[in-house]
Amino acid sequence: MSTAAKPRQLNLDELLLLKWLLGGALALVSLWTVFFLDIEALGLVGVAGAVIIAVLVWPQLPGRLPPLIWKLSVPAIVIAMAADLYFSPDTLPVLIRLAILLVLYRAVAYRRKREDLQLLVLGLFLIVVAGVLTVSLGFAFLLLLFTACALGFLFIINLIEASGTGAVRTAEAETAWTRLGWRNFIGRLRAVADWRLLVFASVLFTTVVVMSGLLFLVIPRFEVASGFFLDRYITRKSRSGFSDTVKFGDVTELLRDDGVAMRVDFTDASGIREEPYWRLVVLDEYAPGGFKVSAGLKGELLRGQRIMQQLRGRPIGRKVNEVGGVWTFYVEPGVSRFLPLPGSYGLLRLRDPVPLQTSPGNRLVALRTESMTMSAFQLDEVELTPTLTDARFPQLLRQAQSDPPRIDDAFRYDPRLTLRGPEGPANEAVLRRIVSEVTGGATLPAEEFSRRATAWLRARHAYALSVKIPKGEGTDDIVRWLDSNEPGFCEYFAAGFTVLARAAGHPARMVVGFHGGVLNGFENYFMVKNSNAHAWAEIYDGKAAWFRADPTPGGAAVTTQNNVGGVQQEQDSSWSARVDSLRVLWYRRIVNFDSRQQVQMIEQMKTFTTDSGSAMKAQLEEISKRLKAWLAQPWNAARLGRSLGLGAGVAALGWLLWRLTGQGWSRWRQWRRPAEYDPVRRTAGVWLGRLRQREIRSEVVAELQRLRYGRRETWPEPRAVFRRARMARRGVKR
Amino acid sequence: MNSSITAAATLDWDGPGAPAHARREFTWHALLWVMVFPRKRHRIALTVPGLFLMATAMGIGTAAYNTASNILFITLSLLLACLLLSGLLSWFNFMGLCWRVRPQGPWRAGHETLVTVEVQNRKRWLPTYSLWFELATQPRHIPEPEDGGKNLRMREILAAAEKYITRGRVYLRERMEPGGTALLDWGVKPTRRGEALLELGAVGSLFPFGFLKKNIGTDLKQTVLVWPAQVEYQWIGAMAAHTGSQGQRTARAGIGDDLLALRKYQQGDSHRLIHWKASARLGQMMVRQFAAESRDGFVLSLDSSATRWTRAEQFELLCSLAATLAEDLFAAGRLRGVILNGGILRETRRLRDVEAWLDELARLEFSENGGRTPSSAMRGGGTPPPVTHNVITFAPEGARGVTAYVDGRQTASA
Repeated sequence: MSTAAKPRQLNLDELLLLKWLLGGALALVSLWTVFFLDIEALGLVGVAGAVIIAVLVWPQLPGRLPPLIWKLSVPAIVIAMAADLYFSPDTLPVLIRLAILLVLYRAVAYRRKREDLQLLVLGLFLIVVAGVLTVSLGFAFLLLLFTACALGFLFIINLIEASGTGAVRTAEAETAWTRLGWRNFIGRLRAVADWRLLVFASVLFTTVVVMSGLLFLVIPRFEVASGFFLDRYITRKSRSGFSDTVKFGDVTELLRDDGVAMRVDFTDASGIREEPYWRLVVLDEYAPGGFKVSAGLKGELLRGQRIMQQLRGRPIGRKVNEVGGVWTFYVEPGVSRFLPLPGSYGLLRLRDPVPLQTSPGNRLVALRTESMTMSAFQLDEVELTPTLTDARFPQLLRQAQSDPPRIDDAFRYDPRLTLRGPEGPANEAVLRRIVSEVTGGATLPAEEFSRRATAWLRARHAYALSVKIPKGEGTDDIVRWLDSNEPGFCEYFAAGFTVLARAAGHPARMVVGFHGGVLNGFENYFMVKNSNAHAWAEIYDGKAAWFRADPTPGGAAVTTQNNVGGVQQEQDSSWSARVDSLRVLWYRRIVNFDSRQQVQMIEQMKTFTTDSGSAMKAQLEEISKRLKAWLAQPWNAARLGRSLGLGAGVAALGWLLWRLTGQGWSRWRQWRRPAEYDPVRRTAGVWLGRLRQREIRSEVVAELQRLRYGRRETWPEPRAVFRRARMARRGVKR
Repeated sequence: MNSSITAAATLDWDGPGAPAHARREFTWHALLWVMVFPRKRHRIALTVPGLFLMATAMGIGTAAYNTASNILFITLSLLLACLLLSGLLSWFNFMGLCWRVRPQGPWRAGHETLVTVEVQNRKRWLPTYSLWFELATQPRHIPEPEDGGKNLRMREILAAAEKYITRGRVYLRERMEPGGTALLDWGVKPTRRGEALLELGAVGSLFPFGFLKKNIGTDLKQTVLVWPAQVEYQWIGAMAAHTGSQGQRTARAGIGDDLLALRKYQQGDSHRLIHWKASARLGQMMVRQFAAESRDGFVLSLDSSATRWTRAEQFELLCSLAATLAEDLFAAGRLRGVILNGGILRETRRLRDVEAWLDELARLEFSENGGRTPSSAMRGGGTPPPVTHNVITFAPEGARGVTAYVDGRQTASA
């Protein structure tokens, strides 16, 4: 084969080395995704990554291993997988570890086309599984990186196949590419790199991303019941302390974690004037060392379990002070299976129909299992109320007191638990003494008791994250803490308040969740961090509602319906907030995109198109009117001169910019490829094109061709030739 | 020349970027329609990786709908976008390409010859990668099966015809730069004498990712004449040759006494050959060139009548022997002329005269209408030509052989 212009391109061995490099990069990217997964494979990933990097740097290494090792590799992987499957309780981690081993095997062994495609598929498997299980923003980045590598990889495979067709190579020649030095190879890559092709490739990749975005938006969505989901095949450990049992110290551990626990997006932030309490778990049963969700409450939750996508909160028609518009919650995996609720709501909506456990009396909503991925849900008609209406509670309490549940009926909700605190004569004696200190021996209503108890606690105990409980016999930790002057943190204050209220005969319970958060300065949503974890108490007012009591120093002491604080919202405009806003965009636009939003988007597009068309039309009409008015004004010499001068100035500026751009371009090209760029040849080419357009055939064409293509020694004087070309063109014009 | 082209248009470039390629006016609906219904002979087929990609996309799509997971939806849309990009790049790859086919040298049955595919990339910015060209050659008239194909099924008829077709594929292995030209050679060995059809069936590519195999069918066809095969024969002409024509002047350069022409001096020429007068007149050294003298020249007379040649194989051997004898005798300077079926004597003074004779032999068909019926079928005689001596005629020998006679005496056999 011969070509007119000698191509600058990689030969077969260099292409093979490039393919090896891209294959390794592909494997590394796919292994990177495993870091997002919470499975026991990080050591394996580390080893696999190190080995892949080693064979990337020294591609001749696999050739030095005895063939027996390669033959035994696949059986060894199969045996390892069988053993892993036997010992591991979950299926998916086993599959992921198998995929890691296979990626390692394929990445370090010399590959032909079939093995290359296998590597690609294994990498895609890891990426997709990690993406589905984590729904993280990192997945988007890695998927794009993987796509770029995969497209380049396939492109090189195709080139290798085309250039190697029919060629018979010796065994020595087959591995010649492994002996190419990296320095030479990089030099060759730089030599053959063509900026036009690189720009074209970048444009194409951008096109792919845009096209996939458009396809994502227009792919029709319809709801099919959730039939298969990978997170069923993996068990995840909870990272937060918000499970059914909270021991003293669980919440405080979270206070040291600055990671974002959830993000709350609302359509109208103007009405939110206080720091919301994000209520997660209600702990109604006291246990030495902490509080827990009672078995009866769990039973109530279990009995209330239904597969549903929507849940109505408040009865329809009740007038409330709604704030925030539509609240969308993005709760990070591992926070809790209980959904954070800031107050009463009209409608709770989830992305898919899922098994949902509810307890309306306790205003608890929980998923059956803790989600492996980000959980998203929406609340409509939210009211940030500190009270929780529960008119049935007195009736239930009376019923339980008159007809106590049987001991073997542990799963029946027992409201009497909200009156039980530390038991035993020593505990009770201390609590009685403290209650009388608080109340002064009088019987106080719940609100008044709450205020006094909070004041007493704040006067007696300071706030600190480290707690030293005095030693003692016969009394519980919380009682000893109450009786001391030791500082404490939110859990101790909330628990102390709860046991005091119970000792005073007021039903009370402990609640854990989050308090406050910061507004993201870029995308206008609430970032609630793990350090916002909080515990507070709820006390029954004796009539029809529970109200919130936050005895922790710095918190709102007793918040009732009429006591809405005017807290100024803190805004975060740091770089981390900017990065975090990308994550919310990812959640908003990608992860949480559904058929409803698809319809909304189409309607928005329609509205935008119509509005912008009308606006443009109006603007054009306005410009036209102004132009007419300007033209209709009386003209005199001065005005005419000014107008002409302005027009000429603008034209001259445009011409100057055009010339400067052209010269800059020429100089850049000359600097980039001085040997290939010649202004005389280029100008001759331009003139040839102009004369060809006018079909001029004169001697000057031959001279121009000589300037364009001929040897420099044979050139006529260029300026004279260009002048003659100009004259020839003018002659035709006339 | 033995390669003649049936239509002048076929000499021209073909392909999307061919100068004469009819450019349709661009309209969006035409573009969309082409995507739905490709042009005639444009075929796009899925390869194994492409099939796998589609299966993966379908699997991920099913999982996406089943779980309503947007992660799977975005993966699906990325896969589909890659497929669209593949089609787009493939379109770019073929854009501005044109090609033509040029058969090289004489085509002779049983001898390898070359066909050159010339490809041009007329794009201004973008190169072209990894193409292949599917070429085929076959006799213009493929012999029908012995029983006329009445008892054969279509598949068997096609299989029988396929035996006469030689197919090949040439690859563009390197990148073709914008404005570049590539020449690709295909070696082919024609099997039969006669008119052959050389065809560029399709131009294909797996570019860019190997998901789709795109084929662009072409109408590039050329008719090429295949000369008869050269055969080995036994020459016993020394005892048969007549000496009457010795010393006759020929039109070829040689060492005779007659001046044939003047030519420029070349290094190694004898100084005695310099024509001083002409050299002085022209200002450069000229030398005399003398005509060669023929020795015992022969006339080849071929009678192709069906009454004489009843067996097709024997007829083919006749053509081959006549062609081989003509070339050998001309090379030895002993071929005076040729006569076909008792026609007029055509002298063979130049190489193109011999090539014209080979062309005639290539076109000679085995049939009852092949030639004039001879008046007498005497052994070694055939139709007596107007020339009187050193006439080589041909006659069957046995069931398979062919013998050449000079004035009735055996002079060669094959």
